[in-house]
Amino acid sequence: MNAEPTFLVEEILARCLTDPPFLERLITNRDAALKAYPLDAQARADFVNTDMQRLRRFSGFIGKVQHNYLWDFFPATRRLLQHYRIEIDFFADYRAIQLSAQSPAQSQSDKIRRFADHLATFVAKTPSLTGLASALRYERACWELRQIAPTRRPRGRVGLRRAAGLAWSDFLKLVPKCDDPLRIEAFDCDPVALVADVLAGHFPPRDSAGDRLFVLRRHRDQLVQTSEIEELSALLLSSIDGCRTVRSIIAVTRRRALGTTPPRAFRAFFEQAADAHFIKLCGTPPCA
Amino acid sequence: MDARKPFRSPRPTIGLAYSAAVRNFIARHPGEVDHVEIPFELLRHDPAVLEIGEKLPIILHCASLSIAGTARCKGETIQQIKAFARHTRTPWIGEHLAFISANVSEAGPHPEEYAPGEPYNIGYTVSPVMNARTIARVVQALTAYARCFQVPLLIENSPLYFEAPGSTMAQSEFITSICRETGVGLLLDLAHLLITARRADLDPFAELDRLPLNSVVEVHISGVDEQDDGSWDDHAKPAPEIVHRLLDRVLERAAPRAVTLEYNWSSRFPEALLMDELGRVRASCGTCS
Repeated sequence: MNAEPTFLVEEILARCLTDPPFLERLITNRDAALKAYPLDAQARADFVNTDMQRLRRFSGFIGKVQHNYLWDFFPATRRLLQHYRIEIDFFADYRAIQLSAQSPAQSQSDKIRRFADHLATFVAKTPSLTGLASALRYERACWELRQIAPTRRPRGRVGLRRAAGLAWSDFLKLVPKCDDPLRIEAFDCDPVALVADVLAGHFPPRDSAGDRLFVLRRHRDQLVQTSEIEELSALLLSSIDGCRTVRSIIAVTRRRALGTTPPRAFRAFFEQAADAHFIKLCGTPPCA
Repeated sequence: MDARKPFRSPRPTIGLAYSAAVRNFIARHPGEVDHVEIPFELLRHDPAVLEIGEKLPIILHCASLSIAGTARCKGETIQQIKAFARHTRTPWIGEHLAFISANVSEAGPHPEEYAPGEPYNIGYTVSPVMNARTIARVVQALTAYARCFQVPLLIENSPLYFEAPGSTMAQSEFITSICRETGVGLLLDLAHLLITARRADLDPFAELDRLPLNSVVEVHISGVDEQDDGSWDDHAKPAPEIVHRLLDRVLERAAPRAVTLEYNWSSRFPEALLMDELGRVRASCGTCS
């Protein structure tokens, strides 16, 4: 043990910056938190006069700097955190999770997921942060799509013209597959316009206008294309798993909704989705 | 070629702190940058970064020595810094006048210990307790490192975000005493100076004049993030006007050998802005005596 005041002061400061629960105890009950440290009267008085909230913000600032890598993936989220002037406070709040020994994040991907989870919870508690929840969710979805390893192009695809000419009974046997990873997400605004506005410095972001559905598709060059879609298209797209046939997908969809719609009415969807390159129609004989 | 030769020019060399974006910028704009500053901690993590030394002289920066701290840096780390200093042929090693780690005393309670048996590792440099005891410790550390490294160590002024308990002097007095006692050179970070002055509600130009400007060897330029409770270091923003005016004042009164722009926190720092900033600093340095 070394009771030289500077040693102890540095130790306590270092602990405040690496042990957030200790810092919180120091803020709420300074005497109890410092009790075990053999500080002299002067050093103890100096701690009483120290602005602990400022120290907490400094800890948040350190956390923010240590997360600089995030902003390549979450640029609009970051701009909104700055716009609402909550960046340092958020990271001060997040510090306990960042430094948690109980759930250490191993990889950068783990850290990004953990950050996004916590920010989503933080934002959900503060509805006045217009646009932040949508920007975060959109940028997270784009990032997650880019994490998916490219798959081999489906084999045995059927040309559009040929699919269009197939008899209904053969069309039902086709297996729709997605070439590129897709995500369907609901937003209360157009997320592409939101992100563009924020990055252009237009605040506050646009008002919400009810739930809208978007399909996000990651191309091979890592670009994410975002298109608004109708509920039925979203339902059909979300049933495509690369194994189900057209017949099976229609059956599933009709059980979930639109039970009175005749099966043939769904054909246009598959042809249009294939035309837009969202899906490929793959076939078994006689298509193969 | 002697990698240190550019630093002997009568005018300061103008460089950038390393980042992947800066590496790409240098590749696209040969001749715009005179040197690149690389943190030791990055080299230790990714020695491939050294490749840039084939294009430009390197200045080694460091945040691991904890020269103002009570916990000593590990011998292994010191040997690694020495090896990179030799390999990069850096003219000096810039190190923060700060601490980055602190010993865990046996008396202290540590129920939430993060790394049992290890000191607290803050992962960021912190301005120390500024008093005579710390000065003595820094002088001792600098004397030891002067024997250890083949190139001089510079000390960088830290941003003072809060006053460490037990501090008895202003930062300018603290730095002046250390420079006077050891003859160590100063790496003057103008954004840090601005942050420190604003926190204490002081005039940054007056604070600049209180520093030992004849000891300045290198200057750092970077941005500042203005918040309701004060200014914070920000290497993702361009330097505010006042930082450029502080640079002009330094150049009137001192003869730094290098000016390094630290715009290394964001890969989205606009290239056109970086060009403007380099041009502005180069123009300032070109007119200095």
